[in-house]
Amino acid sequence: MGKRNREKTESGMINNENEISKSLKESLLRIEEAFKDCPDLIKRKVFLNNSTEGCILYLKGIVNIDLVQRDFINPILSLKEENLTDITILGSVSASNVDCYYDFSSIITDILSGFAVFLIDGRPFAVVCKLDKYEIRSIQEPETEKNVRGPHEGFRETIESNMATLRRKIKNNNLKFKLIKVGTTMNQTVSIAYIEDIADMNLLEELNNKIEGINYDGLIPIGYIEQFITDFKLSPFPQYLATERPDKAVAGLLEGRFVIMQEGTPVVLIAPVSFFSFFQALDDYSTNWMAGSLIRTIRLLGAMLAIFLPALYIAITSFHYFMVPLDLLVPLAESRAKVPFSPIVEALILEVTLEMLREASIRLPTYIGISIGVVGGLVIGQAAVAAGIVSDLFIIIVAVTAIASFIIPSYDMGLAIRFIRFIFILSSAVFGIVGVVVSTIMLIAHLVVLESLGQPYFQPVVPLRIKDLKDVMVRVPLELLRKRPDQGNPNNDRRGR
Amino acid sequence: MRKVKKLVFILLLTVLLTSCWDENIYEKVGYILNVGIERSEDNKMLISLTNPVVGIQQQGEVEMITTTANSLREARENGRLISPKNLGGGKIQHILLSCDMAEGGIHNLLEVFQRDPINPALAIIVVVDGSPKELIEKSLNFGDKPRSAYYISQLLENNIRNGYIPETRIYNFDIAYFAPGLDPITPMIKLEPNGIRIIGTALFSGDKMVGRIDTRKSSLLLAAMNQLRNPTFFIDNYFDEDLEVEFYTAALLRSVKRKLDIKIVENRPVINMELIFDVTLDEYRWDRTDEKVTQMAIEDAIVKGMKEDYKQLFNYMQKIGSDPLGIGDKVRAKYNNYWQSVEWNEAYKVAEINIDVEVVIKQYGVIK
Repeated sequence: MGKRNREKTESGMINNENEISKSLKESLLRIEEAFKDCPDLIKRKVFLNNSTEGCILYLKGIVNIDLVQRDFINPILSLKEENLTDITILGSVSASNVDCYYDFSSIITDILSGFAVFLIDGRPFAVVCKLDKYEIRSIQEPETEKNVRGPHEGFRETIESNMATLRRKIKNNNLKFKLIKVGTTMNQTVSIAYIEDIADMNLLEELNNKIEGINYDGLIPIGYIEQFITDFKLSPFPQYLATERPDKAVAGLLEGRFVIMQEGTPVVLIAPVSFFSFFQALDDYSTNWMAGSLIRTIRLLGAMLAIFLPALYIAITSFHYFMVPLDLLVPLAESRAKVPFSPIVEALILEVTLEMLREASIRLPTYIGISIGVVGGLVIGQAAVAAGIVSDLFIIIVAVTAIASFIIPSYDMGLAIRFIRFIFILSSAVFGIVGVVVSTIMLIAHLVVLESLGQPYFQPVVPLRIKDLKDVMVRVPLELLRKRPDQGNPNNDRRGR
Repeated sequence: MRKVKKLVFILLLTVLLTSCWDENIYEKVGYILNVGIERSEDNKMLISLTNPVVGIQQQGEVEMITTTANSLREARENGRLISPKNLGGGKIQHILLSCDMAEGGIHNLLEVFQRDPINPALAIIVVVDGSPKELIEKSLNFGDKPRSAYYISQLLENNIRNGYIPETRIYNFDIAYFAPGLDPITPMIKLEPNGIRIIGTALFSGDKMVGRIDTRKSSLLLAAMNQLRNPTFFIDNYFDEDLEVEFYTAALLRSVKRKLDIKIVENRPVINMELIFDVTLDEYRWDRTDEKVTQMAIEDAIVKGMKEDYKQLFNYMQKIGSDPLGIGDKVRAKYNNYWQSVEWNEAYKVAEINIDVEVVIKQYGVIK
């Protein structure tokens, strides 16, 4: 459908006379037709040298009108009649971003992108000038990705400021941005940042094609792009690393990865990434390597616990009582003695409640969030045990699981692990420990097959890259991390000279 | 569409009927921890089972079921006819055998532990001097001890760790039984008025119990088997005439190096074994223990005591025909022709076993 529409619009434009007419009246009529019911379009008529009529057009709210007045309109107004040719106008306007167009469709897109357009009666061209001013929020630390020792700045919603942030950090002309237009209706800009002498150009080509191939009316958050360009759509795992932190993006660029930025969202995507990238945070690198390794290990352990612990509990309590050590067996059995449900029902009750609590706490404002803690912690935890709906031990297991899944730095990976946990719970309830084992095998097989932008997702474990293992579980001292990881397929893999 | 319906149906089944089949929830299982086996009249066995009672009201209670049966499985099934829980053998900690059962041979009795994978091959085999049923019954009411099975298993575990009894789990027993020229040994316990006592080791020949030794000899036997843990060895020290008390020296045996040399001389196996012990002098008397002379004297005394014990031990084992050291196994490996030409049980009895002991006191304390 979308494709057909697009062709129609394009062909429709060609059918129109695409040239700007000499008569200002005619041009204005056409613009008015295009901008019907757009009250934010401002048209201001002026007279040049008291005779020639001109008109400035811009959209209210995205143009810095003071600057337009001073640096764009005033110089034109002061020109003499005979100097109103395209070349002289361009030469005399002091604003920097000035251009001259002869076709109609460019004017319309320019007005929409925050240009001020100046039309002069009797001249078949329009002078445009970009002096835009958006309301943007100030730089803040991303709420979801706090860090201790790194910079406390985050990306913002405008792509220009995000590109400027990267440029400010990487003072090197090899930092390139490739701009792509997406969104058939919304006309958004997407920019792929990369460092030319590190990144693999074939991957850039591939990524570029993927993004250009998106055929959709509007991509609101960057998750849309992520979903459109994901190779393995049936996988719960995120294959692009979303972040709001410029420092993380810079780290990715230095490893030969690409950073996809989209207008209108502070979140950028890093690709290609490996499974283990989702467990890394900048703090691992900014602190001592021993502490960094410890934290890294704890994160991976947390992910394993979050996936396996409830499933193992169910398998053992429902099928394999002989796996419990003797000293634990009697207390455990006593704690479950008054629970009338089978372990799977017990587990589902508590896990689903926990997921609800978690979902509720994301949306609610902080001051209501506190009461959620009370309801969740006291009412559900304490009362459920007292009422004999769940056992003490399972409360602990759910608590440990929840804490374990909170320590995963990436929200997307956290979601994936929450989802996988339920699969594990169900399969362990049906098949016991065999279910857990088979699910684990399938999970690993899936991870091994998965790719992120054509690069193996489970690298450096499978395929094995021994030198890259230095940065997976343990994070060795920086002096030993002289080579860039293989993941981004960098064409120059030495860090430093 | 039909395919989708089928798929949805199967999915629903797996979710809704989750755990309706094969489920074995642990608070509904009565896990047997103690098994006591002895002979009863009319060609049956008297089997005692205990399982801890798990419930809201019951704290520390134990259910004991005694039944006569012709097989262990039958005993469990009989128990299920009585017990509120579904009795299961997955956590059996130890099997208490009466002496008469052990003397009659137990290998076939234990087969069920290898056949059914849920039954643990990790259960410890113990020979009871007396009636296992009585021992279990009394152990339920000791008061100052934990629940019966916990008490016995902790007792065994600690003494295995201290090196006074061998660690004979079912698989150890089976391995030793199946290897020709190697005999199993098991711990022995006995009921006392206010507790259960480790009394030593039962020696087997094949699967039949043929003799017993005390804990002192057991620890030396384990040292000779290269399985020394941390037993303490006592020898006479001095007699205090005022107190009229005989005082002993205590030496902690820390490690042992064994040199075993087996030869066939004149169609008769000759075994030369040298054991070098590293010991810590734990308890002695006020003396110049830092001086070489005193140390030598102590070492000599220990060596003398040990040699005497070893002599008695091996003579006894040869007499009853039990070979836990696996000398036969080594002869079979090294001198196979000889092994095939003789009846090992007889050859073992006339074998010449020479034991040389050396003791090095590695630590004699800070007292001068």
